[in-house]
Amino acid sequence: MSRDAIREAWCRVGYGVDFQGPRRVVVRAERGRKGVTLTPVTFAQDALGTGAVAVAMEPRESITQWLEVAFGSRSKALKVLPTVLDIQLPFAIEQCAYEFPILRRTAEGRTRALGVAARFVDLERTLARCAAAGLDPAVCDHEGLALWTQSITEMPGEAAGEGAVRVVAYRGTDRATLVIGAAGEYRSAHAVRLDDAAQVRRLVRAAGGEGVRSIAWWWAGPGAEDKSACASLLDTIGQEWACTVAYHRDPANFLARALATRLVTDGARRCNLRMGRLEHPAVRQARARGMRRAIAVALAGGVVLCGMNLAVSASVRGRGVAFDAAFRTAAVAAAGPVFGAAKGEQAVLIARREVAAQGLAAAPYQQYMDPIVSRVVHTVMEQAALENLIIEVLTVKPEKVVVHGRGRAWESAAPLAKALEAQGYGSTIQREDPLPDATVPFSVTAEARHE
Amino acid sequence: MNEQRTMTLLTVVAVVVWLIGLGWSVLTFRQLHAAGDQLHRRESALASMRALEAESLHYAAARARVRAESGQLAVPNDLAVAQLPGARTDEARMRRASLGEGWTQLTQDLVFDDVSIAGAMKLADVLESQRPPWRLAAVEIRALPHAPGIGQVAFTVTAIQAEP
Repeated sequence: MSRDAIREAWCRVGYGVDFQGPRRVVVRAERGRKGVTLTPVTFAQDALGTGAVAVAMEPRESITQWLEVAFGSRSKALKVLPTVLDIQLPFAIEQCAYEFPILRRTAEGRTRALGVAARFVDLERTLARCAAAGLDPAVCDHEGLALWTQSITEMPGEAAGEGAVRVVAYRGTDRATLVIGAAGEYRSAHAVRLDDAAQVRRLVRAAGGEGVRSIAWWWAGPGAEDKSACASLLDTIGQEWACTVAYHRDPANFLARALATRLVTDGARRCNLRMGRLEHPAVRQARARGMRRAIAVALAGGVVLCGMNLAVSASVRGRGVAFDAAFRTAAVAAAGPVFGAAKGEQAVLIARREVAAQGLAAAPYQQYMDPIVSRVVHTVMEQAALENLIIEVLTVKPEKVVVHGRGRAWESAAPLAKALEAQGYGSTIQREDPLPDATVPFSVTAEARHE
Repeated sequence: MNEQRTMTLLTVVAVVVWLIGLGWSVLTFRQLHAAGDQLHRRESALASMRALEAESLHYAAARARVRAESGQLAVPNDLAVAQLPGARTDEARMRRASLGEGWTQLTQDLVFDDVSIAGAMKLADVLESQRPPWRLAAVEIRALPHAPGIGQVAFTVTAIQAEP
């Protein structure tokens, strides 16, 4: 949270400061579209007050510890992890600033986390040292993690296979730090005396496990510029393993570079131990700004949600009103103002009754408009001429048509029946046995279909 | 401290607004669900009512057209005498039925014995083609068994006229 706040608020440009005894190594980092630009600067000339500053907590004043808890849930794990870390610490956790920069779920459904902690007294000491140098760092990073991330960022290097160990050996003017990782993952960081070969071997074996096959030594720090000294140290340390040796470029400002890079970029393994009562005011303000922004967004979201609901409700209501108005207009146009309080299906029933009455009253007019009797008489006459039918009796009314006659063949009356069907009648044919003159008596009865 | 209180208050307000929005969304969703069914029923009722409106308008249009064509009616018997000279017809009284709104329907039966059926059909055409027309309301034709083309023809004709 705090790191994000820093980054969002003002950390496009930041400074990493590495205290080397009385000397300070400073690197300026600027995050741009094409990545991070790193520039070594001299302490005096750069106005450090204008940007964020990160310093490192050395391994002797801080601790990293891998922990595992039986919860797969991140939130549950975060509740339990401080207690587990407390057990591992040699001092009370209430006296410490701590973070869990790595938190991941294992295949077994547990949570594995890297805890980073430093005592407030050590943080205060570091901050006092910074203040004496005219610095007020917003970020107190962990030196081991910084060295590790910078090493694997600059030199991804060897395969992260089982048994492949990377050691980042930082050789400063007043201290040495050994960072050990295996299988591509950070394991531990230690303040060491590099001339104590037995201690180094023990640490490598402890961190890398018994199955250490090969070790990639990466030298960094001002002391790494003396390659012959590094090589002779390694001769005494690394006899029992197959070692490859490499040197990071510009080793003198490696740590400052790492701190500056981590300050302006996001990613895993980032941490800031300056927290709680020691938290930098700018970080606190940035967090407050972030909080305010989050509240504003939430408020705006809530208002938008309410507005959308209002709009949807109004739209539904409006549609209902429009429907009612259209319905009422159609109803009055169909049947006049006869509905009273009737609505919906009830109003349709009333209208249906009214329109049926209108239909009865309008029947003479309908008949006038549609001279069906005349049309049917002509149809019958045309069919009689076409099929050589002899019509004996023809009765036509709008509702019913009856034709008695004789045809030349059994099927002669069928086209007449079909023609009446086409005029909207349902017809039946009755035939009798042929007469001596070979004609077939028939009668076609057709009744109007009501659809 | 004051700022802390303000932030807390704002957070509470934001949460409350969110909760109101969410609750309202649930209600709106339910309303929409119910309104969907109601809308479907309303659409169905409106479609029925519009069909009835169209039917009513059709009747009104028929009345309007008939009334627009209204005028002096020809006398059916006179037309029959002209079309079927020498035909014997039973004189029948013209029937009148009020249609309301100042309109009357006239109905006349024309019955011809031993008449040319083709001639009778021609008379029917003449009656229908008058302006205003006489419409055939019923027809009955009985052919004579041993006289092709000759028979008894009965027409019922109707017309609509404005009441004097």
